Amino acid sequence: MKAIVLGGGGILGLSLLVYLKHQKDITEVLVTDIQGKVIKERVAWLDDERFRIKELDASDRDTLIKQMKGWDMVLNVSRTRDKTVAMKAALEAGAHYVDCGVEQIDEKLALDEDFKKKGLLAVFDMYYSPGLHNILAAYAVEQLDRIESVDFRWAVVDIVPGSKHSRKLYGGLSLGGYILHHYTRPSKRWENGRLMDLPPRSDPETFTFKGPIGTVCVAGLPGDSMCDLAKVRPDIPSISFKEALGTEMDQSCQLLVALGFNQEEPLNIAGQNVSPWAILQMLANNQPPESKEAPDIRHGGCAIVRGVKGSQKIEYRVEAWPSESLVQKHKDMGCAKYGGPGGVFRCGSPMGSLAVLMARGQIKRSGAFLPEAVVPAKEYLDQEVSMGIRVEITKTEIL
Amino acid sequence: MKVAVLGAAGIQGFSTLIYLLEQRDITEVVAMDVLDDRLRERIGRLKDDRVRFQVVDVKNREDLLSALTEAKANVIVNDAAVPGCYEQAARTALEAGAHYLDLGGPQEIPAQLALCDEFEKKGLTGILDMGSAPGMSNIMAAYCINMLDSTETVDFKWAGGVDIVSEEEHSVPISWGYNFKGIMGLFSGPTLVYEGGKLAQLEPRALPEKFTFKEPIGTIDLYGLTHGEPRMLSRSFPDIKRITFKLGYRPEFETKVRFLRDLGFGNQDAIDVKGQKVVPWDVLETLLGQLSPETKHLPDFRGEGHCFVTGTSAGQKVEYHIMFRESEELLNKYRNQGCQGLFRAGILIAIAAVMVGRGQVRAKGVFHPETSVPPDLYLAEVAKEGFEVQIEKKVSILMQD
Repeated sequence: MKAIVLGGGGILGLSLLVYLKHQKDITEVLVTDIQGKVIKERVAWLDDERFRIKELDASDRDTLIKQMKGWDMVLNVSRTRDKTVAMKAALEAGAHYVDCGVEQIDEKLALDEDFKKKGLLAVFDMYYSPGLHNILAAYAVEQLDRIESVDFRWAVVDIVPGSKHSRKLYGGLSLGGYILHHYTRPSKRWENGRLMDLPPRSDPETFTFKGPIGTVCVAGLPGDSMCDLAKVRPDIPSISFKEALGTEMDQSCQLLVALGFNQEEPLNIAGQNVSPWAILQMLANNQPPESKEAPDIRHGGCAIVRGVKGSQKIEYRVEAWPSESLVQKHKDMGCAKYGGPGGVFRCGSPMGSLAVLMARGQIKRSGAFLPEAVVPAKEYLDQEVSMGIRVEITKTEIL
Repeated sequence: MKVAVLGAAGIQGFSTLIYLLEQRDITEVVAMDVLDDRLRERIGRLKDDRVRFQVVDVKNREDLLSALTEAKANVIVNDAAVPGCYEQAARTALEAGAHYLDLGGPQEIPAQLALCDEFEKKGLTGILDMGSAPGMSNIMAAYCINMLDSTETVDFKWAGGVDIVSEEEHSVPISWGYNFKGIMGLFSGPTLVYEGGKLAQLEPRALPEKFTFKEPIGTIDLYGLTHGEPRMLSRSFPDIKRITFKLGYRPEFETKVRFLRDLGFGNQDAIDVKGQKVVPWDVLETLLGQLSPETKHLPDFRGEGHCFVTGTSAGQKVEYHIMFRESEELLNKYRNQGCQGLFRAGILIAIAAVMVGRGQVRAKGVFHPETSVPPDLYLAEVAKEGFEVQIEKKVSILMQD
């Protein structure tokens, strides 16, 4: 199967391409991005004869349609906010479509019939979280007759202590993602048919993850997609999402937001109109180079699903995290060089596993879906394990 | 005795006023500041006919001279933390014919010391950096040094305004006991150490160590910083082999200030931000000034200072240790009158000012505290005001066959 990647120059693109390099089911990959120079260097580094490049704007509908014709699937990890443009272009061109976008879910679901008519499959929200975490939940949900609650616990944490760095604010997201989004916007929770707004980073609790992350504080995050499972299974009474971002990141971002550095609107500062956020961004992005230890950002998490099978109360904990050998492989490859000062170079890989399942014909359905509605959970997790992800499933019978 | 207080509306200025008005031989206090409303509010609280206020900007030399000349004060206490104005304030005091004390503008001390002969000719006394540290710290060292035949080392361990209220009990993200710009400067500047005849500059906040203060402060981490004592004492007592000054804050406060410093917000030089020249410190200062007032638990800042001096006396190795801190009674007395933050420097400079006015400081000219203020008299006054002062002497006896 032949895949065209949109946004191959970004961090998600990096991790997706690294994934695709190590699998055999995708036979040709066209790597595209608006930054031609970046993808040229990246594809040269990947050194895989299956990969070609083309400079392409993921928001240019007509050019997209022309380019997509003849390709089997479109994997969209671009930064373009309106991903329905590329999705509709794929439909027009006759290609399957997958994206990582967390917005415009309803508009994308509305294309379900169009994709069905053409026998094509579209899956969106297919990232780490949401995406992978939904499939972890789906695995457990399939085992139960009735679901009482789903609690996602996720982590994106630098496991190197902050005292060992000379630079500050290492994280898996952009600084804006933390300051303007995670620590400023309300947390979300699905409760009895309603998506509730809670204070930013609400309901902190201590949680123990598998692997090197260990015991950290998790708290709520914004974003309706955190609870998109409710769109597929509105019968689930309670869905929560809490994420660990690291103790120092929590303390630093909470301080910066409390001081007002999340203000994008200019203030009068010494007679000039100055945006506090712009200053913070400038200073954070222009810190001197790291002179001590580099960050080691790890990503992983679980879905805890409680429900009933027959008359038995059961709790499933389905957890996934990269194995040490996979992490080392990426370090040896030099992924961090392209992943930026922090960078989560596994974040695009869940889409890669989905692409492989599609290439093998393991997903027979057509239409437009959220991942948990169409991706066969067991087969998906088997593919993730084969690529170096550790998956642990714990079933607890509550007596 | 008439005393004029510059910066009277500030944290230290207010505690200075309270101490002065406790003294029966104070006949008049002129409280001066540029902050009109706050000054009025402060004076209104004091309810004492001996105090009047005058709005004065210390940056305006003519206004300041006119105000001080008119005040006919015997002593001028400069509590105004206005960099660039310390030398001017000292000169103006000289012209007005008054003794002068201040809380220290390190960059201007050499220029102020250069006024020594002029002050001496007029029979006036000028004492620079007469706060808590420097100030009381120097006098503590001087007391011990005077007790020894020779001095080896002087080491200060200081708690610089530790908030004993836990972070969770505050609504504001950061609280500070005194001038935050000054604190940021201390975190950003080199660690000063005097050793082996040389004044060395190490990295900021170097030489970490743990030290246990009395409760409620407890054990905190201390670090070196840019503080005047190594420089001042090494000049006043050049035979000392080592002088260090280390200071600690609440761990969360230390972490936060370091974080802001490391990001670059202590930078007072303009940077280019999309074509605009912006001083990062100005941005931080503006945001700090816009923080909503505390709605949960007000901070409770505590300070404590220790001075360890080793040397020899009558052939024996001796260590002197002086500890000082505010007693609960002292804190309550000043807080009940409206003092907030870490206000002890204002009391300590006022004690020295009254001693100068009473003729208890004989030195004429411009000096550091350790070479002008009689230490035993000063410590007695400090204890009398309600500070806890403890002095220990340890003698080492080497047993030999």
